[in-house]
Amino acid sequence: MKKIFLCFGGLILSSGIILGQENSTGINDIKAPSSPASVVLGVQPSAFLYPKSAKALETTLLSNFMDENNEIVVPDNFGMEFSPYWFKDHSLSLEKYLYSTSFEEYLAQLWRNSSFSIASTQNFLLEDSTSTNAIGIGYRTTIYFSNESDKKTVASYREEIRELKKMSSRIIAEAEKIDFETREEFLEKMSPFIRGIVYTSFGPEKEDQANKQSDLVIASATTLEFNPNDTDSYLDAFNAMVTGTLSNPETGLAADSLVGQFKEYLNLRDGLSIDIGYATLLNFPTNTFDDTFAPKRSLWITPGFRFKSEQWKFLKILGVFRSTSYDLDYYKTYFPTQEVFQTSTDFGLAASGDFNRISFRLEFVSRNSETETPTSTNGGGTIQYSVSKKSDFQSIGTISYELSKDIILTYSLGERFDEVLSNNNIVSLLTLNVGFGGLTKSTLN
Amino acid sequence: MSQRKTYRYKNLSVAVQDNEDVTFTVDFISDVNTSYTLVDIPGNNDPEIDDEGSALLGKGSDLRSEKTIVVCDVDNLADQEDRITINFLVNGEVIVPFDKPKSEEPRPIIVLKIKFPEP
Repeated sequence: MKKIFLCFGGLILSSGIILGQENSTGINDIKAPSSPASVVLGVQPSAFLYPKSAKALETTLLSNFMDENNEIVVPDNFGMEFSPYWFKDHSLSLEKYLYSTSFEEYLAQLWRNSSFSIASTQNFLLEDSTSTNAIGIGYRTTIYFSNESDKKTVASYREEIRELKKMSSRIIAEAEKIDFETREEFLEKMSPFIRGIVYTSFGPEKEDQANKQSDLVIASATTLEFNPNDTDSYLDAFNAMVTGTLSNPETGLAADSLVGQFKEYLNLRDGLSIDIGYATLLNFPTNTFDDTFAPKRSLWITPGFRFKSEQWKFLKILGVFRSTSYDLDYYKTYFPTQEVFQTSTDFGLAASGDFNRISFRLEFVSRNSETETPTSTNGGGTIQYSVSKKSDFQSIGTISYELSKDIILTYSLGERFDEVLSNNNIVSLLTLNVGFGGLTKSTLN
Repeated sequence: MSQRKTYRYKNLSVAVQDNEDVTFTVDFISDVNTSYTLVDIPGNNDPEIDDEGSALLGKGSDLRSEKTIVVCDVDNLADQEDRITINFLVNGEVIVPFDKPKSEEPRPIIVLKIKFPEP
Protein backbone atom coordinates (compact mmCIF):
# COMPACT_ATOMS: atom_id res chain seq x y z
CA MET A 1 0.00 0.00 0.00
CA LYS A 2 1.29 3.40 -0.92
CA LYS A 3 2.29 5.36 2.17
CA ILE A 4 2.48 9.02 2.87
CA PHE A 5 4.91 9.59 5.73
CA LEU A 6 4.60 12.82 7.59
CA CYS A 7 7.10 14.18 10.06
CA PHE A 8 4.83 14.29 13.09
CA GLY A 9 7.06 16.05 15.53
CA GLY A 10 10.63 16.93 16.34
CA LEU A 11 12.35 17.24 19.72
CA ILE A 12 15.62 18.87 20.55
CA LEU A 13 17.42 16.71 23.08
CA SER A 14 20.62 18.65 23.45
CA SER A 15 21.92 22.07 22.66
CA GLY A 16 21.30 21.51 19.02
CA ILE A 17 19.22 23.15 16.40
CA ILE A 18 16.74 21.65 14.03
CA LEU A 19 18.28 21.97 10.62
CA GLY A 20 16.20 22.14 7.50
CA GLN A 21 16.68 19.31 5.02
CA GLU A 22 17.54 21.80 2.31
CA ASN A 23 20.66 22.82 4.21
CA SER A 24 22.00 19.33 4.74
CA THR A 25 24.82 17.96 2.61
CA GLY A 26 24.50 14.24 3.01
CA ILE A 27 25.85 11.48 0.83
CA ASN A 28 22.77 11.65 -1.37
CA ASP A 29 23.52 15.27 -2.20
CA ILE A 30 27.02 14.62 -3.46
CA LYS A 31 26.77 11.24 -5.20
CA ALA A 32 26.58 11.19 -9.00
CA PRO A 33 23.22 12.66 -9.99
CA SER A 34 20.95 11.13 -12.61
CA SER A 35 21.11 14.36 -14.59
CA PRO A 36 24.46 16.11 -14.02
CA ALA A 37 23.39 18.98 -16.31
CA SER A 38 20.47 20.07 -14.15
CA VAL A 39 22.50 19.67 -10.95
CA VAL A 40 25.32 21.91 -12.15
CA LEU A 41 22.70 24.40 -13.39
CA GLY A 42 20.95 24.31 -10.02
CA VAL A 43 17.55 24.08 -11.70
CA GLN A 44 15.36 21.01 -12.07
CA PRO A 45 13.34 21.46 -15.28
CA SER A 46 9.71 20.51 -14.86
CA ALA A 47 9.81 18.32 -17.97
CA PHE A 48 12.71 16.29 -19.27
CA LEU A 49 12.89 15.02 -22.87
CA TYR A 50 14.53 11.70 -23.73
CA PRO A 51 15.04 11.47 -27.52
CA LYS A 52 15.57 7.85 -28.49
CA SER A 53 16.93 8.29 -32.01
CA ALA A 54 19.32 10.56 -33.85
CA LYS A 55 16.37 12.01 -35.75
CA ALA A 56 14.44 12.68 -32.53
CA LEU A 57 17.55 14.30 -31.01
CA GLU A 58 17.94 16.55 -34.02
CA THR A 59 14.27 17.55 -33.86
CA THR A 60 14.47 18.22 -30.12
CA LEU A 61 17.54 20.44 -30.49
CA LEU A 62 16.21 22.35 -33.49
CA SER A 63 12.77 22.94 -32.04
CA ASN A 64 14.09 24.12 -28.69
CA PHE A 65 17.34 25.94 -29.47
CA MET A 66 16.29 27.68 -32.73
CA ASP A 67 13.67 30.40 -32.96
CA GLU A 68 11.45 31.16 -35.95
CA ASN A 69 14.26 33.33 -37.47
CA ASN A 70 16.70 30.43 -37.22
CA GLU A 71 18.59 32.25 -34.48
CA ILE A 72 20.06 30.21 -31.62
CA VAL A 73 18.20 30.75 -28.34
CA VAL A 74 18.52 29.35 -24.85
CA PRO A 75 15.20 27.70 -23.94
CA ASP A 76 13.70 28.30 -20.52
CA ASN A 77 13.06 25.46 -18.08
CA PHE A 78 14.38 22.89 -20.55
CA GLY A 79 15.96 19.50 -19.91
CA MET A 80 16.94 16.56 -22.09
CA GLU A 81 19.02 13.42 -21.80
CA PHE A 82 20.10 11.03 -24.53
CA SER A 83 22.18 7.86 -24.85
CA PRO A 84 23.70 7.62 -28.35
CA TYR A 85 24.45 3.89 -28.12
CA TRP A 86 20.73 3.11 -28.01
CA PHE A 87 19.96 5.08 -31.17
CA LYS A 88 20.76 1.97 -33.24
CA ASP A 89 20.06 -1.77 -32.95
CA HIS A 90 23.00 -4.04 -32.22
CA SER A 91 21.24 -7.38 -31.52
CA LEU A 92 22.92 -7.20 -28.11
CA SER A 93 22.27 -10.30 -26.01
CA LEU A 94 21.42 -10.15 -22.31
CA GLU A 95 24.74 -11.84 -21.47
CA LYS A 96 26.78 -9.28 -23.43
CA TYR A 97 24.71 -6.52 -21.86
CA LEU A 98 25.32 -7.78 -18.33
CA TYR A 99 28.85 -9.14 -18.36
CA SER A 100 32.16 -7.65 -19.43
CA THR A 101 35.24 -9.85 -19.32
CA SER A 102 37.87 -7.98 -21.33
CA PHE A 103 39.13 -4.42 -21.45
CA GLU A 104 37.34 -3.90 -24.78
CA GLU A 105 34.07 -5.15 -23.28
CA TYR A 106 34.42 -2.79 -20.31
CA LEU A 107 34.97 0.08 -22.75
CA ALA A 108 31.89 -1.06 -24.67
CA GLN A 109 29.91 -1.16 -21.42
CA LEU A 110 31.10 2.33 -20.52
CA TRP A 111 29.85 3.63 -23.87
CA ARG A 112 26.57 1.68 -23.61
CA ASN A 113 25.83 3.25 -20.25
CA SER A 114 26.86 6.74 -21.34
CA SER A 115 24.26 9.45 -21.38
CA PHE A 116 24.52 13.15 -22.13
CA SER A 117 22.25 15.71 -20.54
CA ILE A 118 21.47 19.32 -21.32
CA ALA A 119 19.45 21.65 -19.11
CA SER A 120 18.84 25.35 -19.56
CA THR A 121 17.09 28.28 -17.97
CA GLN A 122 16.48 31.96 -18.72
CA ASN A 123 16.26 32.65 -15.01
CA PHE A 124 19.76 31.99 -13.66
CA LEU A 125 20.02 34.69 -11.02
CA LEU A 126 23.23 36.62 -10.49
CA GLU A 127 23.87 38.07 -7.06
CA ASP A 128 22.24 41.38 -8.00
CA SER A 129 19.09 39.41 -8.95
CA THR A 130 19.63 39.84 -12.70
CA SER A 131 18.00 37.02 -14.65
CA THR A 132 20.40 35.51 -17.15
CA ASN A 133 20.54 32.60 -19.58
CA ALA A 134 22.46 29.52 -18.51
CA ILE A 135 23.02 26.02 -19.82
CA GLY A 136 24.22 22.92 -18.01
CA ILE A 137 25.91 20.20 -20.06
CA GLY A 138 26.49 16.85 -18.41
CA TYR A 139 27.76 13.33 -18.96
CA ARG A 140 27.16 10.23 -16.93
CA THR A 141 28.05 6.55 -17.10
CA THR A 142 28.22 3.47 -14.92
CA ILE A 143 30.69 0.61 -14.95
CA TYR A 144 29.61 -2.65 -13.38
CA PHE A 145 32.09 -5.36 -12.44
CA SER A 146 30.84 -8.91 -12.91
CA ASN A 147 31.03 -11.42 -10.09
CA GLU A 148 30.00 -15.03 -9.58
CA SER A 149 27.26 -14.26 -7.07
CA ASP A 150 25.56 -11.93 -9.54
CA LYS A 151 25.86 -14.50 -12.32
CA LYS A 152 24.22 -17.13 -10.11
CA THR A 153 21.36 -14.77 -9.23
CA VAL A 154 20.79 -13.90 -12.90
CA ALA A 155 20.91 -17.58 -13.93
CA SER A 156 18.46 -18.47 -11.17
CA TYR A 157 15.93 -15.83 -12.31
CA ARG A 158 16.37 -16.90 -15.94
CA GLU A 159 15.78 -20.57 -15.18
CA GLU A 160 12.74 -19.92 -12.97
CA ILE A 161 11.17 -17.65 -15.61
CA ARG A 162 11.98 -20.14 -18.37
CA GLU A 163 10.25 -23.02 -16.56
CA LEU A 164 7.08 -20.97 -16.10
CA LYS A 165 7.10 -19.79 -19.72
CA LYS A 166 7.59 -23.36 -20.88
CA MET A 167 4.43 -24.39 -19.04
CA SER A 168 2.33 -21.37 -20.12
CA SER A 169 3.51 -21.53 -23.76
CA ARG A 170 2.32 -25.15 -24.02
CA ILE A 171 -1.12 -24.14 -22.78
CA ILE A 172 -1.24 -21.09 -25.07
CA ALA A 173 -0.19 -23.15 -28.12
CA GLU A 174 -3.01 -25.62 -27.46
CA ALA A 175 -5.53 -22.83 -26.91
CA GLU A 176 -4.50 -21.20 -30.20
CA LYS A 177 -4.84 -24.52 -32.02
CA ILE A 178 -8.31 -25.68 -31.02
CA ASP A 179 -11.57 -24.63 -32.68
CA PHE A 180 -14.35 -23.43 -30.38
CA GLU A 181 -17.52 -21.38 -30.58
CA THR A 182 -18.42 -20.97 -26.92
CA ARG A 183 -16.51 -20.48 -23.71
CA GLU A 184 -17.91 -23.76 -22.40
CA GLU A 185 -16.61 -25.61 -25.45
CA PHE A 186 -13.21 -23.96 -25.03
CA LEU A 187 -13.02 -24.92 -21.34
CA GLU A 188 -14.23 -28.45 -22.02
CA LYS A 189 -11.41 -28.96 -24.51
CA MET A 190 -8.76 -27.07 -22.54
CA SER A 191 -9.35 -28.17 -18.93
CA PRO A 192 -7.86 -31.69 -19.23
CA PHE A 193 -4.94 -30.26 -21.19
CA ILE A 194 -4.25 -27.56 -18.57
CA ARG A 195 -4.36 -30.15 -15.76
CA GLY A 196 -2.02 -32.47 -17.69
CA ILE A 197 0.56 -29.79 -18.48
CA VAL A 198 0.65 -28.35 -14.95
CA TYR A 199 0.84 -31.82 -13.38
CA THR A 200 3.69 -32.83 -15.71
CA SER A 201 5.58 -29.62 -14.95
CA PHE A 202 5.17 -29.83 -11.15
CA GLY A 203 5.73 -33.59 -10.83
CA PRO A 204 3.72 -36.11 -8.82
CA GLU A 205 5.15 -34.93 -5.47
CA LYS A 206 3.44 -31.56 -5.94
CA GLU A 207 0.10 -32.92 -7.13
CA ASP A 208 -1.90 -30.80 -4.68
CA GLN A 209 -0.26 -27.58 -5.84
CA ALA A 210 -0.70 -28.63 -9.47
CA ASN A 211 -4.42 -29.19 -8.87
CA LYS A 212 -4.79 -25.83 -7.10
CA GLN A 213 -3.07 -23.94 -9.91
CA SER A 214 -5.04 -25.77 -12.61
CA ASP A 215 -8.28 -25.00 -10.74
CA LEU A 216 -7.26 -21.34 -10.52
CA VAL A 217 -6.48 -21.06 -14.25
CA ILE A 218 -9.73 -22.81 -15.24
CA ALA A 219 -11.78 -20.73 -12.80
CA SER A 220 -10.19 -17.52 -14.06
CA ALA A 221 -10.89 -18.57 -17.68
CA THR A 222 -14.61 -18.86 -16.86
CA THR A 223 -14.71 -15.22 -15.72
CA LEU A 224 -13.10 -13.73 -18.86
CA GLU A 225 -15.41 -11.84 -21.17
CA PHE A 226 -16.43 -13.91 -24.19
CA ASN A 227 -17.72 -12.60 -27.49
CA PRO A 228 -18.62 -15.40 -29.96
CA ASN A 229 -17.91 -13.01 -32.85
CA ASP A 230 -14.43 -12.19 -31.57
CA THR A 231 -12.84 -15.28 -30.07
CA ASP A 232 -9.36 -13.77 -30.56
CA SER A 233 -10.13 -11.22 -27.81
CA TYR A 234 -10.99 -14.08 -25.48
CA LEU A 235 -7.72 -15.82 -26.39
CA ASP A 236 -5.80 -12.57 -25.78
CA ALA A 237 -7.24 -12.35 -22.27
CA PHE A 238 -6.72 -16.07 -21.69
CA ASN A 239 -3.04 -15.94 -22.73
CA ALA A 240 -2.36 -12.97 -20.47
CA MET A 241 -4.20 -14.63 -17.58
CA VAL A 242 -2.20 -17.87 -17.96
CA THR A 243 1.19 -16.11 -17.83
CA GLY A 244 0.05 -14.02 -14.89
CA THR A 245 -1.45 -16.91 -12.91
CA LEU A 246 0.80 -19.95 -13.20
CA SER A 247 3.40 -19.68 -10.48
CA ASN A 248 6.48 -21.42 -9.20
CA PRO A 249 5.32 -24.00 -6.63
CA GLU A 250 8.30 -23.17 -4.36
CA THR A 251 8.15 -19.37 -4.37
CA GLY A 252 4.53 -18.81 -5.37
CA LEU A 253 5.67 -16.20 -7.92
CA ALA A 254 4.18 -16.03 -11.42
CA ALA A 255 6.34 -15.22 -14.45
CA ASP A 256 4.93 -11.68 -14.59
CA SER A 257 6.05 -10.99 -11.00
CA LEU A 258 9.38 -12.73 -11.49
CA VAL A 259 10.21 -10.65 -14.56
CA GLY A 260 9.37 -7.51 -12.55
CA GLN A 261 11.67 -8.65 -9.72
CA PHE A 262 14.39 -9.58 -12.18
CA LYS A 263 14.30 -6.12 -13.77
CA GLU A 264 14.47 -4.52 -10.31
CA TYR A 265 17.45 -6.71 -9.46
CA LEU A 266 19.24 -5.71 -12.68
CA ASN A 267 19.05 -2.08 -11.57
CA LEU A 268 20.56 -2.91 -8.16
CA ARG A 269 22.92 -5.80 -8.81
CA ASP A 270 25.20 -7.41 -6.23
CA GLY A 271 28.83 -6.41 -6.33
CA LEU A 272 30.85 -3.37 -7.28
CA SER A 273 29.71 -0.61 -9.59
CA ILE A 274 31.09 2.85 -10.22
CA ASP A 275 29.01 5.81 -11.30
CA ILE A 276 30.89 8.61 -13.05
CA GLY A 277 29.43 12.00 -13.85
CA TYR A 278 30.78 15.27 -15.21
CA ALA A 279 29.04 18.55 -15.85
CA THR A 280 29.87 22.10 -16.77
CA LEU A 281 27.84 25.26 -16.40
CA LEU A 282 27.69 27.89 -19.14
CA ASN A 283 26.38 31.32 -18.22
CA PHE A 284 25.64 34.28 -20.46
CA PRO A 285 25.50 37.26 -18.05
CA THR A 286 24.50 39.75 -20.77
CA ASN A 287 22.20 37.21 -22.43
CA THR A 288 24.32 37.22 -25.58
CA PHE A 289 26.74 34.58 -26.77
CA ASP A 290 29.51 37.24 -26.86
CA ASP A 291 29.71 37.04 -23.06
CA THR A 292 30.09 33.36 -22.32
CA PHE A 293 31.51 31.98 -19.09
CA ALA A 294 32.10 28.43 -17.91
CA PRO A 295 32.13 29.31 -14.20
CA LYS A 296 31.64 25.87 -12.63
CA ARG A 297 32.64 22.28 -13.42
CA SER A 298 31.88 19.21 -11.34
CA LEU A 299 33.17 15.64 -11.44
CA TRP A 300 31.45 12.85 -9.50
CA ILE A 301 32.81 9.36 -8.88
CA THR A 302 30.62 7.07 -6.81
CA PRO A 303 31.73 3.52 -6.13
CA GLY A 304 29.07 1.37 -4.50
CA PHE A 305 29.11 -2.17 -3.24
CA ARG A 306 26.18 -4.44 -2.49
CA PHE A 307 26.83 -7.60 -0.51
CA LYS A 308 25.24 -10.89 -1.45
CA SER A 309 26.43 -13.32 1.22
CA GLU A 310 23.92 -14.21 3.93
CA GLN A 311 26.29 -12.89 6.60
CA TRP A 312 26.71 -9.42 5.07
CA LYS A 313 23.74 -8.89 2.80
CA PHE A 314 22.12 -6.55 5.34
CA LEU A 315 24.93 -4.06 4.67
CA LYS A 316 25.26 -1.56 1.85
CA ILE A 317 28.37 0.56 1.44
CA LEU A 318 28.68 3.64 -0.73
CA GLY A 319 31.66 5.89 -1.31
CA VAL A 320 31.45 9.24 -3.03
CA PHE A 321 33.91 11.73 -4.47
CA ARG A 322 32.96 15.08 -5.90
CA SER A 323 35.32 17.73 -7.14
CA THR A 324 34.04 21.12 -8.20
CA SER A 325 36.14 23.89 -9.67
CA TYR A 326 35.08 27.51 -10.00
CA ASP A 327 36.15 30.44 -12.18
CA LEU A 328 37.01 32.95 -9.46
CA ASP A 329 37.08 35.95 -11.83
CA TYR A 330 33.49 35.22 -12.80
CA TYR A 331 32.35 34.86 -9.17
CA LYS A 332 34.21 38.03 -8.11
CA THR A 333 32.36 39.92 -10.84
CA TYR A 334 28.86 38.46 -10.58
CA PHE A 335 28.74 37.12 -7.00
CA PRO A 336 31.06 39.60 -5.26
CA THR A 337 30.08 38.84 -1.65
CA GLN A 338 29.97 35.07 -1.94
CA GLU A 339 32.85 33.06 -0.47
CA VAL A 340 33.99 30.80 -3.32
CA PHE A 341 37.14 28.69 -3.50
CA GLN A 342 38.90 27.67 -6.69
CA THR A 343 38.31 23.98 -5.99
CA SER A 344 36.11 22.15 -3.54
CA THR A 345 36.52 18.43 -2.99
CA ASP A 346 34.12 16.18 -1.07
CA PHE A 347 34.89 12.65 0.06
CA GLY A 348 32.13 10.64 1.65
CA LEU A 349 31.42 7.19 2.93
CA ALA A 350 28.03 5.81 3.92
CA ALA A 351 27.01 2.48 5.38
CA SER A 352 23.43 1.42 5.94
CA GLY A 353 21.77 -1.74 7.14
CA ASP A 354 18.57 -3.33 8.38
CA PHE A 355 18.00 -5.78 11.22
CA ASN A 356 14.35 -6.72 11.51
CA ARG A 357 12.67 -3.52 12.77
CA ILE A 358 15.85 -1.54 13.28
CA SER A 359 17.72 0.22 10.51
CA PHE A 360 20.77 2.41 10.71
CA ARG A 361 22.74 4.71 8.50
CA LEU A 362 26.16 6.26 9.10
CA GLU A 363 27.53 9.02 6.91
CA PHE A 364 30.88 10.72 6.88
CA VAL A 365 31.67 13.54 4.48
CA SER A 366 34.92 15.47 4.35
CA ARG A 367 35.20 18.73 2.42
CA ASN A 368 38.39 20.48 1.42
CA SER A 369 38.29 23.81 -0.39
CA GLU A 370 41.28 25.75 -1.59
CA THR A 371 42.34 28.66 -3.73
CA GLU A 372 45.79 29.25 -5.19
CA THR A 373 46.64 32.89 -5.88
CA PRO A 374 49.81 33.86 -7.81
CA THR A 375 51.82 36.29 -5.65
CA SER A 376 55.23 36.74 -7.27
CA THR A 377 57.72 35.29 -9.72
CA ASN A 378 61.15 34.20 -8.50
CA GLY A 379 64.40 34.69 -10.35
CA GLY A 380 64.04 31.44 -12.30
CA GLY A 381 60.68 32.54 -13.68
CA THR A 382 58.71 30.18 -11.45
CA ILE A 383 55.40 31.63 -10.26
CA GLN A 384 54.91 31.60 -6.48
CA TYR A 385 51.40 31.02 -5.11
CA SER A 386 49.71 31.70 -1.84
CA VAL A 387 47.14 29.06 -0.91
CA SER A 388 44.03 29.62 1.18
CA LYS A 389 42.34 26.46 2.44
CA LYS A 390 39.27 25.45 4.35
CA SER A 391 38.51 21.97 5.64
CA ASP A 392 35.31 20.74 7.16
CA PHE A 393 33.83 17.45 8.22
CA GLN A 394 30.33 16.14 8.66
CA SER A 395 29.30 12.93 10.39
CA ILE A 396 25.73 11.90 11.05
CA GLY A 397 24.35 8.67 12.42
CA THR A 398 20.68 7.78 12.15
CA ILE A 399 18.87 4.91 13.77
CA SER A 400 15.23 4.06 13.10
CA TYR A 401 12.88 1.72 14.89
CA GLU A 402 9.66 0.53 13.28
CA LEU A 403 7.14 0.76 16.14
CA SER A 404 4.41 -0.57 13.88
CA LYS A 405 3.76 -0.92 10.17
CA ASP A 406 2.93 2.79 9.87
CA ILE A 407 4.95 4.39 12.69
CA ILE A 408 8.70 4.83 12.67
CA LEU A 409 10.78 6.48 15.39
CA THR A 410 14.05 7.99 14.14
CA TYR A 411 16.96 9.54 16.02
CA SER A 412 19.83 11.38 14.33
CA LEU A 413 23.01 12.50 16.06
CA GLY A 414 26.10 14.08 14.60
CA GLU A 415 27.89 17.13 13.42
CA ARG A 416 27.20 19.04 10.23
CA PHE A 417 29.36 21.31 8.11
CA ASP A 418 29.79 24.78 9.60
CA GLU A 419 26.93 27.09 8.84
CA VAL A 420 27.93 30.47 7.46
CA LEU A 421 25.69 32.37 9.85
CA SER A 422 25.82 30.06 12.82
CA ASN A 423 28.49 28.35 14.86
CA ASN A 424 25.97 25.79 16.07
CA ASN A 425 26.32 22.67 13.95
CA ILE A 426 25.39 19.83 16.33
CA VAL A 427 22.53 17.66 15.12
CA SER A 428 20.39 15.85 17.66
CA LEU A 429 16.94 15.18 16.35
CA LEU A 430 14.19 12.80 17.34
CA THR A 431 11.34 12.40 14.88
CA LEU A 432 8.22 10.33 14.72
CA ASN A 433 6.97 9.42 11.25
CA VAL A 434 3.35 8.40 10.93
CA GLY A 435 2.13 6.85 7.69
CA PHE A 436 -1.36 7.07 6.33
CA GLY A 437 -2.71 4.89 3.56
CA GLY A 438 -2.73 6.49 0.16
CA LEU A 439 -5.87 7.10 -1.84
CA THR A 440 -7.53 3.94 -3.00
CA LYS A 441 -9.95 3.38 -5.85
CA SER A 442 -12.80 2.97 -3.37
CA THR A 443 -11.89 6.25 -1.65
CA LEU A 444 -12.01 8.02 -4.98
CA ASN A 445 -15.29 6.41 -5.84
CA MET B 1 -1.38 -3.57 -14.48
CA SER B 2 -2.68 -3.75 -18.03
CA GLN B 3 -3.22 -7.06 -19.77
CA ARG B 4 -0.31 -8.42 -21.84
CA LYS B 5 -1.00 -8.23 -25.56
CA THR B 6 -0.95 -11.19 -27.89
CA TYR B 7 0.18 -10.44 -31.45
CA ARG B 8 -1.33 -13.13 -33.63
CA TYR B 9 -0.18 -13.78 -37.20
CA LYS B 10 -2.61 -16.21 -38.81
CA ASN B 11 -2.66 -17.68 -42.28
CA LEU B 12 1.09 -17.78 -42.72
CA SER B 13 2.08 -20.21 -45.43
CA VAL B 14 5.48 -21.47 -46.53
CA ALA B 15 5.64 -23.96 -49.42
CA VAL B 16 8.14 -26.75 -48.80
CA GLN B 17 9.04 -29.96 -50.65
CA ASP B 18 8.20 -33.30 -49.04
CA ASN B 19 11.82 -34.18 -48.37
CA GLU B 20 12.97 -30.63 -47.59
CA ASP B 21 14.33 -29.88 -44.10
CA VAL B 22 12.39 -27.06 -42.47
CA THR B 23 14.22 -24.79 -40.06
CA PHE B 24 12.58 -22.12 -37.92
CA THR B 25 14.66 -19.19 -36.64
CA VAL B 26 14.16 -16.46 -34.05
CA ASP B 27 16.47 -13.52 -34.76
CA PHE B 28 16.68 -10.62 -32.29
CA ILE B 29 17.26 -7.28 -33.98
CA SER B 30 16.78 -4.85 -31.10
CA ASP B 31 18.91 -5.08 -27.95
CA VAL B 32 18.59 -7.12 -24.75
CA ASN B 33 15.57 -9.19 -25.68
CA THR B 34 14.97 -12.52 -23.96
CA SER B 35 12.37 -15.05 -24.98
CA TYR B 36 11.18 -18.60 -24.79
CA THR B 37 9.76 -19.99 -28.04
CA LEU B 38 7.75 -23.17 -28.38
CA VAL B 39 7.14 -24.53 -31.88
CA ASP B 40 4.12 -26.82 -31.69
CA ILE B 41 4.47 -29.13 -34.72
CA PRO B 42 2.43 -32.25 -35.59
CA GLY B 43 3.58 -35.04 -33.27
CA ASN B 44 5.16 -34.97 -29.86
CA ASN B 45 8.66 -33.56 -30.44
CA ASP B 46 7.97 -29.85 -30.24
CA PRO B 47 11.21 -27.87 -30.60
CA GLU B 48 12.03 -25.02 -28.19
CA ILE B 49 14.27 -22.02 -28.69
CA ASP B 50 15.75 -20.14 -25.74
CA ASP B 51 16.24 -16.50 -26.68
CA GLU B 52 17.33 -16.53 -30.32
CA GLY B 53 18.49 -19.33 -32.57
CA SER B 54 17.22 -22.01 -34.94
CA ALA B 55 15.38 -25.30 -34.57
CA LEU B 56 14.85 -28.06 -37.10
CA LEU B 57 11.13 -28.76 -37.43
CA GLY B 58 11.49 -31.85 -39.64
CA LYS B 59 10.79 -32.70 -43.28
CA GLY B 60 8.12 -30.83 -45.20
CA SER B 61 5.93 -33.95 -45.46
CA ASP B 62 5.87 -34.24 -41.62
CA LEU B 63 4.36 -30.77 -41.23
CA ARG B 64 1.29 -31.00 -43.43
CA SER B 65 -1.28 -32.69 -41.20
CA GLU B 66 -2.06 -29.58 -39.12
CA LYS B 67 -0.98 -25.99 -38.62
CA THR B 68 2.27 -25.36 -36.80
CA ILE B 69 1.74 -22.99 -33.87
CA VAL B 70 4.64 -20.87 -32.66
CA VAL B 71 4.36 -19.19 -29.25
CA CYS B 72 7.14 -16.71 -28.47
CA ASP B 73 6.97 -15.14 -24.99
CA VAL B 74 9.22 -12.06 -25.04
CA ASP B 75 10.73 -9.79 -22.39
CA ASN B 76 13.05 -6.89 -22.88
CA LEU B 77 15.26 -6.19 -19.91
CA ALA B 78 16.95 -2.90 -20.84
CA ASP B 79 15.22 0.31 -19.84
CA GLN B 80 17.20 2.13 -22.52
CA GLU B 81 15.73 0.01 -25.35
CA ASP B 82 12.40 1.36 -26.56
CA ARG B 83 11.49 -1.20 -29.25
CA ILE B 84 11.13 -4.92 -29.56
CA THR B 85 12.27 -5.96 -33.03
CA ILE B 86 12.48 -9.64 -33.86
CA ASN B 87 12.56 -11.44 -37.20
CA PHE B 88 10.95 -14.86 -37.50
CA LEU B 89 12.34 -16.91 -40.36
CA VAL B 90 11.64 -20.22 -42.07
CA ASN B 91 14.57 -21.65 -44.04
CA GLY B 92 16.31 -18.28 -43.90
CA GLU B 93 13.37 -16.26 -45.25
CA VAL B 94 11.68 -13.71 -42.97
CA ILE B 95 8.04 -14.68 -42.59
CA VAL B 96 7.20 -12.15 -39.83
CA PRO B 97 9.23 -9.04 -39.09
CA PHE B 98 7.96 -8.10 -35.63
CA ASP B 99 8.65 -4.49 -34.68
CA LYS B 100 6.68 -2.74 -31.93
CA PRO B 101 7.46 0.01 -29.45
CA LYS B 102 7.71 -1.11 -25.83
CA SER B 103 5.31 1.67 -24.96
CA GLU B 104 2.64 -0.34 -26.81
CA GLU B 105 3.50 -3.64 -25.11
CA PRO B 106 6.68 -4.22 -23.11
CA ARG B 107 6.17 -8.01 -22.88
CA PRO B 108 4.52 -9.24 -26.09
CA ILE B 109 3.24 -12.76 -26.61
CA ILE B 110 3.72 -13.51 -30.31
CA VAL B 111 1.72 -16.31 -31.93
CA LEU B 112 2.39 -17.52 -35.49
CA LYS B 113 0.10 -20.01 -37.24
CA ILE B 114 1.97 -21.51 -40.18
CA LYS B 115 0.89 -23.92 -42.90
CA PHE B 116 3.51 -25.84 -44.90
CA PRO B 117 1.80 -26.80 -48.17
CA GLU B 118 3.47 -28.43 -51.15
CA PRO B 119 4.83 -25.97 -53.72
